[in-house]
Amino acid sequence: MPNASESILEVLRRCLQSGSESDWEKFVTETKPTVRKAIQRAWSGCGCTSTERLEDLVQDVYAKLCAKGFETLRRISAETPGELFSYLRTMGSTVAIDSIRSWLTLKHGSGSVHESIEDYAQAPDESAQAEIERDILLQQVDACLKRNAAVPTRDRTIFWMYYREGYTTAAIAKIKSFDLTTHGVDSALRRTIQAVHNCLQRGKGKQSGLTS
Amino acid sequence: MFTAGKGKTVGTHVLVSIEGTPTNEHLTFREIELTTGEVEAEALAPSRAEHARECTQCAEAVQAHAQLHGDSRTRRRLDPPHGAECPPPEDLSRFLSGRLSASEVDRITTHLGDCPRCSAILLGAVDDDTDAERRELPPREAKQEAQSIAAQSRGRQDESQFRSLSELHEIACISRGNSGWRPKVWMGIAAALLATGGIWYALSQRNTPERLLAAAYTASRPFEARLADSGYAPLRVQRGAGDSLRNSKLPLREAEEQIQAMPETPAGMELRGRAELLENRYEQAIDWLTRAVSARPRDADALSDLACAYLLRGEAHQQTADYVHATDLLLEGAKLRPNDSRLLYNLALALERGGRRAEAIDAWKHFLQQEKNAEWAAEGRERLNALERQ
Repeated sequence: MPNASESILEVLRRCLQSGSESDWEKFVTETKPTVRKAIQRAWSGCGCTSTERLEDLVQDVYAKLCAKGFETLRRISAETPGELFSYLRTMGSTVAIDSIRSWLTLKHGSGSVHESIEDYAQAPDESAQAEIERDILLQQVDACLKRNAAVPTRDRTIFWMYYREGYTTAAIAKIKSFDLTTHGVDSALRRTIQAVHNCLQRGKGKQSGLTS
Repeated sequence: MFTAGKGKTVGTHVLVSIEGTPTNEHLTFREIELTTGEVEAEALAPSRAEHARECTQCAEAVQAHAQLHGDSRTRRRLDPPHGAECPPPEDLSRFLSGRLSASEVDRITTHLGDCPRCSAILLGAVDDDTDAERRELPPREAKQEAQSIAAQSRGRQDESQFRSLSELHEIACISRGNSGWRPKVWMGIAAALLATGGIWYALSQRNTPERLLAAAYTASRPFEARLADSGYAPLRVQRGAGDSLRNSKLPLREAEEQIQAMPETPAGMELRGRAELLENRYEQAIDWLTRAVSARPRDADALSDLACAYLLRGEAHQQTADYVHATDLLLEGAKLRPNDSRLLYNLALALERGGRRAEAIDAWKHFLQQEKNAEWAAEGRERLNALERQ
């Protein structure tokens, strides 16, 4: 793996210098699985597993990499192999997530929401009410976290990554800028969840104080 | 002083559970996760569960976790907060690999806490299995792709790559039925995408209802029985009842929209039934699928789906008659398609539910002989093992 990774930057540099088909072939062979997997991971979150769409998005990623005279690739070629693959994963994921956002916009008429009167004809069902309640709860939680100076910004972000985005603790531990092991992420979440509980309890106490 | 169960104090000794965790220690976050049953195949050790009940602080943490856990984790909104400027992919990548300055880390950490889009991007970019990513590609694909890039890098943009709109339309239509790599049009499509204001994009978005339903099932398999899928689908534990991106509502909604526009042909009725099944509305599913089977009695897929609907109803109302009916339908289907692993899986499940253990064991064994997908096979093997242990 390290040897293969080391050579990928040399291949990329040769591609950018000579542009030979065989070099590009090597580059694509080495990098496409990474791009494809990042897209798959991001797309799987919304239940899309269409192979055709996946290939389309892979093409979009390479189109972006080639844009502006290979500007980004040239910059990345001066980095490490790890950075190159990390960037490819991020690009794949970005393209996938933005395509979902575009899709949602198309579905809802370029951003304008058309609501039918029939939607209001029925009383909201239990799940809709639960969703509203949860939205309110999450807003309260976020307000608590922002107010509480004892909860560092990092822990708040980790908290939302876990509860809102569905990261696992192991996935969070892989984000090197946090500089935490899985055990460290566990501890951060443990502290934050206790802080959230205390804050919500205080909020309830104040409410009951007002109403009594 | 440590407590070992209600009202029982055992001096100052640290009580250690069988699993080796001192019972007086607060639950770790991992253990809190276990209390909500989200980690399949793992359970909280009895002594730790007892601690969770006895310790006020841990009980509070468990309660808060359960309250937040529900749907909040699955309800992903992907738009950045209003007015926020998202960092470019390069910065996110450097954040991931820890190559930013402290001030930049702070800036992006704060942004990620508020921006579902960037958090989702980062989640997709986390390297979870490097070795698997490095698998070999079929050389043909790489060659065709490389030709396109090489042509561009040399500035020799082949005019044939830039096709007319009608040709692009044709390509997009063909591609819907062909999962292979499309040679030569690679850059052409990218260029035309910009030039045509997303027409190609819109075209390529289309998917047949069958595929969308299969994707919806794979993304959120809500019950044990098998429907047509687009890959292995692990059984999902329902976390609340709300809609979500994560539990496949998007493809299901799109499929339903398309199905609504379809005439009431047997195929249309079958798809309606399947969509109802995915919504867990088994009565409506039985209605549609019965009509589909009446119109096409030799349609093994419809027979299998109808059997699934009976299985669901059987589970909901504890009706053995439904399991019997499901088994009959599946036996009928298996006569038509004896090597269909999906059908065989459902048959084994129906026999198991109906309490026909010995036949179910045989059916699982037969299923395992036919199933090519390793993950489905692993699931079948687990069920077989469990049945044999009984």
